[in-house]
Amino acid sequence: MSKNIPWKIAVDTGGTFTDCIAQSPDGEWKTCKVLSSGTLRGVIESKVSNKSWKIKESWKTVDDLPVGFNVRVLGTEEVVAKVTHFDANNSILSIDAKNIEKLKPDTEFELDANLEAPVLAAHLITDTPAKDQLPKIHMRLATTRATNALLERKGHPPILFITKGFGDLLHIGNQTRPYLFSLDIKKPEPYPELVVEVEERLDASGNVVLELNEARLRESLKNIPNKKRKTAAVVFLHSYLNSDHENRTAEILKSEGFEYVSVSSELSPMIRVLERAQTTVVNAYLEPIINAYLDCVFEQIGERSLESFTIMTSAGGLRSRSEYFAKDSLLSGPAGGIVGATFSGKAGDSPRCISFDMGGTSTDVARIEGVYPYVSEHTVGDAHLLSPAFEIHTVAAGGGSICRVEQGHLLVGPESAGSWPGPACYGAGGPLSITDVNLLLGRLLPELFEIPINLDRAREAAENELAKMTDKSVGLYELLEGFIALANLKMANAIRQISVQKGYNPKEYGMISFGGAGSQHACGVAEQLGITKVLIPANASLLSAEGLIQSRLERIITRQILRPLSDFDKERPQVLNEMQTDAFDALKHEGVTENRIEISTRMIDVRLSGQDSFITLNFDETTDLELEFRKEFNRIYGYDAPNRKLEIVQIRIVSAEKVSKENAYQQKELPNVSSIFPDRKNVYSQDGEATVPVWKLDDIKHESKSGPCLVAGHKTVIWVEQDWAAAINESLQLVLTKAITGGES
Amino acid sequence: MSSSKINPIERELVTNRFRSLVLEMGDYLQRTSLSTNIKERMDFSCGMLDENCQLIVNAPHIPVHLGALGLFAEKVTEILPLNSGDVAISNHPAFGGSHLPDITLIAPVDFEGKRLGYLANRAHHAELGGRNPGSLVPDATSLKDEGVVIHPFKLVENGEANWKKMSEVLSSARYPTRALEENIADLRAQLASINKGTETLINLAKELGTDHLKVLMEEILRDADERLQKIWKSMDGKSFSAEEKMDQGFSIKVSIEVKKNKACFDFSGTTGIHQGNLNATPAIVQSAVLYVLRIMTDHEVPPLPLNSGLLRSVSFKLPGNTFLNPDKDPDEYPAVMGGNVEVSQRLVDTLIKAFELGACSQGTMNNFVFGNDSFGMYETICGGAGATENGDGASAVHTNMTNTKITDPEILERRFPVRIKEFSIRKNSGGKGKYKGGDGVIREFEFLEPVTISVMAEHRKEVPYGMKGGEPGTVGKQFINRNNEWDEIDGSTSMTLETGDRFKIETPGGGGFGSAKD
Repeated sequence: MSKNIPWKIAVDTGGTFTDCIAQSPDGEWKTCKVLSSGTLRGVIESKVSNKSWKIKESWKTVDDLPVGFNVRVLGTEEVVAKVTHFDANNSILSIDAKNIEKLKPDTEFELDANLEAPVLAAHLITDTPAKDQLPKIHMRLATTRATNALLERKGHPPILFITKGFGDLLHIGNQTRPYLFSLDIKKPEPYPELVVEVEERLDASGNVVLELNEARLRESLKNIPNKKRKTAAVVFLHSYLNSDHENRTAEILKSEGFEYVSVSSELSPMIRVLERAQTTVVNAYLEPIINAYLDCVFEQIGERSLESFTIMTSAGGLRSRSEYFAKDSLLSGPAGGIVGATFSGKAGDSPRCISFDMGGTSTDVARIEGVYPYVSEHTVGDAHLLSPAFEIHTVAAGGGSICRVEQGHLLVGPESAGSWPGPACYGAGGPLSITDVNLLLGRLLPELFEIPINLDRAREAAENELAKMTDKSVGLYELLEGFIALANLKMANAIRQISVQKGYNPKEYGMISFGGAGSQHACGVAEQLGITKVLIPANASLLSAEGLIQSRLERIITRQILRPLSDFDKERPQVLNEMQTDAFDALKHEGVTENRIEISTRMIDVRLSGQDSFITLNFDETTDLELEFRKEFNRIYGYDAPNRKLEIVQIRIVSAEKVSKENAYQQKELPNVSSIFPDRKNVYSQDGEATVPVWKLDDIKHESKSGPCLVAGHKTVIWVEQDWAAAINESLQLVLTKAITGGES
Repeated sequence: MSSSKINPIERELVTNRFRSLVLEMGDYLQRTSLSTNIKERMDFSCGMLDENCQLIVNAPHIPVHLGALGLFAEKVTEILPLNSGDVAISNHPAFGGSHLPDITLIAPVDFEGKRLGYLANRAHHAELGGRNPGSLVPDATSLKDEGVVIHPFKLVENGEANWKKMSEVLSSARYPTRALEENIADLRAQLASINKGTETLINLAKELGTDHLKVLMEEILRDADERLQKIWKSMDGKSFSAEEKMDQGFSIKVSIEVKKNKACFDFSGTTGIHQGNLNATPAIVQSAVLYVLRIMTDHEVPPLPLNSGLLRSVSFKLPGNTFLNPDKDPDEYPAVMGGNVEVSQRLVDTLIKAFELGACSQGTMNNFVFGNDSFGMYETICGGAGATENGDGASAVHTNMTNTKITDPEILERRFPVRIKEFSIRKNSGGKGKYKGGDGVIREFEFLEPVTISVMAEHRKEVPYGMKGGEPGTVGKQFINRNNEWDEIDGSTSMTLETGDRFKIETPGGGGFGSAKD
């Protein structure tokens, strides 16, 4: 093994699980999955000696990895022992003497050493015991840490400094109520704990109307005790045109002891003060959280081992730590999935594809036109951010969605069984959920789960719902089919929103299915939309981490223009030149040499004057913007654009680090499929009960198989419906194809 | 309890497919429309009706459109029988319209010689003529002052669209449209949406069979009716009544009697026709009642569907010659703009008071228009929500019949010669009580060019009532500043201001709920 080449490690930290893909210095690819809590779980099997136990685990690691870890009985706080030795070949765990009488056969236990999940994953995947120094690594990270803090409101409330007269801006919002039909209106609570109005004012061209009153500002700071001077947001009207007052205020705040100062004109120099304020405040609210987390990962890996440390953004590009803003992290996990799906689509000969990521509580969908689906603003929870991201549409339907009958009506979601108590089949008293329904219909195999599955509980839960049906002619399987059909309709509608609504016909797209629950629904959802080809990547359960490996250092430079096309066209070469220079400089600043930088995307947003909505065009120095706009307008609107002037809204340029093809991630062989699956399975569908084959990936490698059947893959089972066929393509993806039936086509 | 032949699971799936159909119509309309009002503010609704003009599914984005398509379909097909390939158009309040800017299209859908039903959509055209931009004419005395009146006619006859006539109608009114091109583009979008829906509905008929499709439509209505009847049954024998007064003294009276599983809404005693524009229409009354029914039953799972089935157990006594139902010859119809934006709000206040659902909200849209020869801008401004038994009212929010966004201050200042000096919460304007009413807002403008301003608002004299011992909210006020002095002005007025003059509006707070001593 060549010691000088660092490992390449990509870690995607989700809510429950952390996925990891790595390339060793020898070029070998490895994967692992750990709990996001950074703990290892196992079950005591039998006693070997007074201080050692034979255990059941699936850590796949080296001897002594967990030495020094605390041992706890699962679900309790008390440390009962510390690990002294681990024999990986025989799964024998040795511990020091403490309260070992609590460890009996069948006890579930947990090991932890307060390691962040990405660090634990790095130790596991490099076979490095936790007490030893890690080898040199290039670390890439996507994390939901800030997203969770935002959604659970566990960030650090900032102090907002805003132009006088607008102190209540965030509270008023856009004056609408989120839900139409209730007198008990619940508006989202603003994030700042205190608002300070600042005497200053610019006009709509960025000219100073009222100078910044520094003395008054310093005066108002006197009321803020030192311990509250942690994180601040600075938002002044029209600062996107002139940032002087904001910058000066930020200087004063830093000199007065604020640790973090988020400045609106730096974070998103775009018109619309409300959204700019929301972006800035969210960043200020999360900055302390994400910084503490990244510091912790940095320290635990150790500077000596960290060859580089880059973090994923919501727009699918990597940034180095020092250049990273909290607001850019909110969709970093899903963005990894989109990068993975984009590569999968290309590899599977469907560059235009719909990514379909069905998880436990929700489903994320995106439309990919062979290139990344960039947008310049996005919404996370109740925060609207003027910040680049991928266009991802989320619908509250997933494997955990609760299925119930109310007043003779069927309901699926939006509530989810969550990880506790989980679906009824987990046996913890959970409700009937989509996962249960798939199990009962035979489209999922109990052998797939890492915990024991209680099918009787699932059936009881289903029968309880059936009993609520006033019409007694309805049978159990009819009801279950109904739940599946409703869930599929919901997800298909989400895809319609990103395709039909925008003037794109889903029939022309392939579908990339991944995520925990997608494999049971891919055919059904595709069918609703007339999609005839579904690709399931070999690493479908780790696609986000795979995307992280495929992503690269990127910078998006945005410039707002807001001028007529005729004016702009004269300056186009100069503006493009300046922006390209900025885009290059940004990456050079991260240490990339000039010859390794390319401009990957140039987007221009154009609209009819007087309109709010715009059309995004890809363009270069010579594109005839008028012509391209009118072509695209006609396609979307179905008629010719009125003869009005065109306005350029903004330009976005993406610079990226060139990546050599040899380094790209490539699946070399079919993943292992566990041998525990049965050969045949009883399933229920519209056509009644039938026994269908359960193929392994190897079975279909050279011969496609038609549905109805199940295909057992790596940690997933795929339900192939009637009239669909499953095969493996050259990129080792599973391809589901709808048979074209005679007659209409 | 009827034993229908319809499998409830099939009904559920078909209901969802019908809903997808109207949502898809909405998507088409939104995508292909040109104006900001439709495209961004989504001020439109789409619906599917059965062959008897009963609204089956409806996707409204704002409450004032609730259920109104049913009434429109009934009135228009009565005087204008429609054949396959026809599309009728109108905005007339006498034919189920609300106010002139809301233009509705309706088309029959036939398959194999049988009528499946109708598809319709209604969209708000921001500019449709009238003495002032945006149709806000506080001193209008007849419908024609408010813009282009479109009597029902066939925009498309036997597949042939008559854009020439359409353009003539739009440009030949007493006060013609100022945005013909945009109107036509948006009407094309409305038509495209209907065509898309027609295609989908015919495919559904092919798949399910025409007769079966009709049985399913009836089943959806029956289910809604059955569920509302159950609710009335739980209120059997109760009666409710309330009266509220507009600032000009006009009185809205309602009494509701629930007998067995039916309810009658009686508006007898309501004041006569308003000589200005404060006239509502039967469509608005029906929307207000449906809205209140919907909030009363919001705890129901799943929510009650907003279709004509709900109207089977509801009857109306809505006397003519009142400002809720002018019931005039279409050619002599009074002005209705204030009826749509202001009376509708006060009507909901009256119904909420009768059912004691909560304290009064700001009960107005605080309509404000400013402009001159080179520009015009219309905004509605939020205020306080009434408190309820569940808690304080929200501050600075649009309530009940409207929910439109306010333009961002930076965009407003960039587009128009105006500077926003203040946009803040009007502290302590909500009524006190066990639960406090929500606060209104203060919004102050400085004009950088001479402008004409118009205001139309309610709750300037009448206070937003408190409920069950809660105190009323503070009334709204508005001021102008010409020479460094603030003068209060009337809540329904127009005037001109010079460069440097300022205008300030303080919107009403909501009422409190319960006594503060409790």
